[in-house]
Amino acid sequence: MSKPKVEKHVNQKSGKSSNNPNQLQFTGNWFIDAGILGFVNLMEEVYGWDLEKLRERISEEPEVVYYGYFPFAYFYNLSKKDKKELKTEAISFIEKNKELGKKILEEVWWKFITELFRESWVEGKLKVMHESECYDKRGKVKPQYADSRYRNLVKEREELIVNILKNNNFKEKIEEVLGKRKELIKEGSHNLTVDDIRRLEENLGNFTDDDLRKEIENIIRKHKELENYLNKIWDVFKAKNISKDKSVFYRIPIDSSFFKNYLFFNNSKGIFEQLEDLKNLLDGNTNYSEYLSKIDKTISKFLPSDEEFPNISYTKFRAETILKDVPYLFVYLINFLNAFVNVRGIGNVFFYSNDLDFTYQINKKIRVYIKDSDNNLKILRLTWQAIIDTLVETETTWVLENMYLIRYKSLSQQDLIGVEYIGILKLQASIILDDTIRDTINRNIAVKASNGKIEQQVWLLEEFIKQKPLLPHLINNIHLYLADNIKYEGFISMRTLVYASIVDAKVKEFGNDNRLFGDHFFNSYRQLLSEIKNDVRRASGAVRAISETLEDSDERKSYANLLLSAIRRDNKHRFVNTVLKALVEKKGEEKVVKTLMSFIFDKILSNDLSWKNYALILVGGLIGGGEADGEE
Amino acid sequence: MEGVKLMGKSEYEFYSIKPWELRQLRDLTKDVFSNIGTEKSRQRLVYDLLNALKTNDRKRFLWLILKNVNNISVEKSEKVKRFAEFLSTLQFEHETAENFDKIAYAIVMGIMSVESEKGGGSNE
Repeated sequence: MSKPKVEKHVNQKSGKSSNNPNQLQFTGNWFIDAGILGFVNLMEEVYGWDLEKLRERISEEPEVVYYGYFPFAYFYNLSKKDKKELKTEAISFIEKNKELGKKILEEVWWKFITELFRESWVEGKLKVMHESECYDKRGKVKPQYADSRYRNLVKEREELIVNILKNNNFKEKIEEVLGKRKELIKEGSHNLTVDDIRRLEENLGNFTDDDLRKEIENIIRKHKELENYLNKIWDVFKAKNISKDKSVFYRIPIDSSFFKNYLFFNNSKGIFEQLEDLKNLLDGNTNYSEYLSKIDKTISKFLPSDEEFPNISYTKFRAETILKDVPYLFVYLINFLNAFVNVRGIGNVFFYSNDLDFTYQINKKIRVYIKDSDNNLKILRLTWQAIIDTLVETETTWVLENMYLIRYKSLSQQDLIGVEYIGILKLQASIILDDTIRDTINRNIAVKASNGKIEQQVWLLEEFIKQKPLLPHLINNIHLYLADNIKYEGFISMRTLVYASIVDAKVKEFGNDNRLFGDHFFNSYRQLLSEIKNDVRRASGAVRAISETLEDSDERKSYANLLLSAIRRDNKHRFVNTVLKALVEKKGEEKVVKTLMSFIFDKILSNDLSWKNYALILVGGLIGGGEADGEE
Repeated sequence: MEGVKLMGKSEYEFYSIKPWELRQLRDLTKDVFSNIGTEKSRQRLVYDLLNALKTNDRKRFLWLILKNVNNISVEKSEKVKRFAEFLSTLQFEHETAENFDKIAYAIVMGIMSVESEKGGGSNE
């Protein structure tokens, strides 16, 4: 991930024609783009292709990628099984059968995708412990159990279990092995599960009674018979040798925890319908299903439902128009969750900029960082760090300015909980690009503590990016230190205090200058940086001056308390009065007094907007003892 | 909420004394007071002024200033006149407590600057 490589990505992208709809690039709609990144992530995770490689494959043979590689990868991911050999087989099959084009989908489906779900399909069927479960209220066979041999085996296993449990002596012994729980048999119906049968098998040696052991062996044998039968018919059906009315019996059990009813996720869909759904999804056939005609909450939970869309009175939001430019739209949309990275303590985050290369690099970096770290707080920091590092490497400021952080806390009932969108403004972006400022405010500071134990910290850089004011945190930190609630190590460093306070003040002042053609409009952000540095220099001088004026440490602490209280009460004149009085009483060296007076006059007395930021630096100076180092 | 706050602010800003006016006042004060009394007496005066401000005793503050200015020699009278004029204009135009305090502290800091001026340094 060296710098030249990143630049190469960026150049490559801009160099290629943007009119090719097959070319993988962002659309500018972040919810589609999240899907594109999710798609890229998926392909990388399963096949190890990076963005460059994926682009190459797509431009060479789009159909093989979208109809062969993608479906396998998608279901591979859903199956949560690490079947490496099967994957290798699938890859070599796809490579050898490229000429099939779109038709490769069917082959991949029957040969490989179904195989991914063999165990979970068998397990799902094994879990049915009572024959009655296979029928609906009217006594009709449910489609998912539409196989008489299967139902018979379930019935036979059930009868064996009931018989053994009817014998009280046997029942007690079994209870002993399984541990006391709910009743094992009630009104002629047993309560054993598949796991219970497995435990009985593991503990077979513990049953000393020969008759009982035999009975249990019978159950186990029947259970195995059922299992073997299921595996056998799975092999047969894979040869597509089944009648359509058994379609639902063979449906592949998939669950995304998110798409509950969407196309092939819907429980009523049999294996043939699932394949048909997938095919139409890949084709982007909007006439096939309502799901494929609209883009709304059903596909991306960040969107409103079709009825709730604010533009509903003008026109409905339809997929058809977008498909012209993004032919594999639905491939991307069903992948949007893959774009998010789970960060412990924060939730699921996705950093979005309108450039695929940049977004890809950042999100990749976050994944790597998270893997390498197991400290919560560190992760929080690293997440933003990934953005900044990528930014510094690529030197593409404009991307940062157009960047958003989208996060959600959890999934529930097919909804996203705690969704948050955070943008990074140009102002903040240009400030954090400065190495000194970034490094200095790249710190956690304590903001809540009790009995000397830190209870809450904030990371200044993150607060800054999120456009939250820093001053309250800085005040809290100093207050905690003065109230003896944190030790000196928990106290913000003078250098960080000076920078954070001034940066915060400048952002406030900048935001206040709302005249359209005010000075700031033309002077750009560069000027702001030099203003910050200039103020840092002056503040550092003032800090040195005040700590030279007041030398006694008790006295300093008592002044610090007085001054902090004036700041917290928003009483500027009380603050000025107290400092001036100290100056008169102490009669410091002329030069020192002059430096301090000029700072107080310009930055505190004449400054209504951000005087507290500068005043707080002086308080810090009294506690910190003039360690401020204003020189870069 | 933001709107109300901003409106209040701009209204206040309209009457608010500008930083350059404050600076002018401070420098003028420094000039006027550079010939008044000794370093010690000025220090006392500053102390008294700060106390008057702390208790929000505007009358005493003005009385202290005027009493000291009254003692000044004739050759400085031109500046004193300007100082008095400036003071009265500011007083009438900026009748808020906020402005009064700002003006008052600018004057105090002007007087304090005289003290630190002894070595012959000039204004920054």
